[in-house]
Amino acid sequence: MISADAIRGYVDLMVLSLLQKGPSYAYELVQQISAVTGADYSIKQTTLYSAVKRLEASGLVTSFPGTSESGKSRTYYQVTESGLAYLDQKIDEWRDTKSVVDRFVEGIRS
Amino acid sequence: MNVVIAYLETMFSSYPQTPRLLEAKAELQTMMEDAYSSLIAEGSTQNEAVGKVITDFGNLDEVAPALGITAEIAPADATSMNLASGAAAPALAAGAWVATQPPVTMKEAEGFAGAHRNTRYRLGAGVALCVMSPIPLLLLLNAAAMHDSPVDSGAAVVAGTVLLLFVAAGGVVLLAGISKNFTPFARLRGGHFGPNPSVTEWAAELAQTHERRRFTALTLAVLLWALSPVPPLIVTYLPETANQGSWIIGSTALTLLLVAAGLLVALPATWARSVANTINRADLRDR
Repeated sequence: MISADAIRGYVDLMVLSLLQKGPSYAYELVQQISAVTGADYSIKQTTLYSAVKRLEASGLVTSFPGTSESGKSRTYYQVTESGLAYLDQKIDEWRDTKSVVDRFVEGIRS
Repeated sequence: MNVVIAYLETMFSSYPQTPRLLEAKAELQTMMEDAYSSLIAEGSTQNEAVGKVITDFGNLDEVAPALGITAEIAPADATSMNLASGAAAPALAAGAWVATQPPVTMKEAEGFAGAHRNTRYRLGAGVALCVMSPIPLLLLLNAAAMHDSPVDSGAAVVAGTVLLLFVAAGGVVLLAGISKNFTPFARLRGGHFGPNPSVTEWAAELAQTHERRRFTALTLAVLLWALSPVPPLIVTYLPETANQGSWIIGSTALTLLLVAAGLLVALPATWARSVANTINRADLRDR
């Protein structure tokens, strides 16, 4: 299980990558993240909510009222152009980060 | 689901109720409702679903910066009390909510719950005795009123009154003894404490654990109370007899007995809910 601290800087990347596929609401994003991460990481609702609100405040996503398939009113979030640019930036940053950290851990465990 | 909503209300109680915060609360509540429904649909029990939803909720302090709320450290005395009890210090919102009372600690809440649990039967017996206290007087008056009764009516009144006072005093003594158990928790009973989300969550779970027993006891008690007017009604509607007065007095005594039995069943089963209500009262007041 990955700790919340270890992955904190990349929750925005996860959210933006999911919103890139289409608008979604908070609980659906939680479900989608859980479906991908499985038992390796469990995102808290407050973590997801603060991420989307942070992205919204930065103009990287926008929100609009909508109705889900179940007929319930939801706040939907969709990624903006600047959000997509930021996602590219975060993906590059992650690849660099992974590459740097890999240089330290490679060879320690076979 | 009520437990989940109560939990969310408690978590938000330490923050100013701004439109942005109310919006956040509504959206988080929707998320929790969705998660709860999803778990129930997957076969979880209600208790399991509530536990999982609360575990997966996270920490509201995390949301505060995104909502423009500056979290501050609680006052020194409150913080030290929380640390002593192992509970996290609540975050207070700057300029909008200031703790005027030290928050309830887990140790206090556990002691308070223990006092309720240990005195629950005495509470039921004390109140029931007070309700039943006129029964000996009624029965003695009844005996004196019967034809060719060896019991003198004056003596019946004196003896009945003495017994009434004796039984009522027994009830009062039991109730007075209970209050001593709550002396260390005077500030909780008086509502002189601030909210502590961990304690509120614990109290809600305690009440939930004992909810089924409380429901069963209240159902039985309501049944007894519903039956309590039946004896006098039967006497009223039956053909009048030579001892009609005796029947009326006897049926009244039976009514009191049924009411007392209901109290004896109901009151001991409500202790956990009483604890949760006391803790929640502070949350609502300090919001």
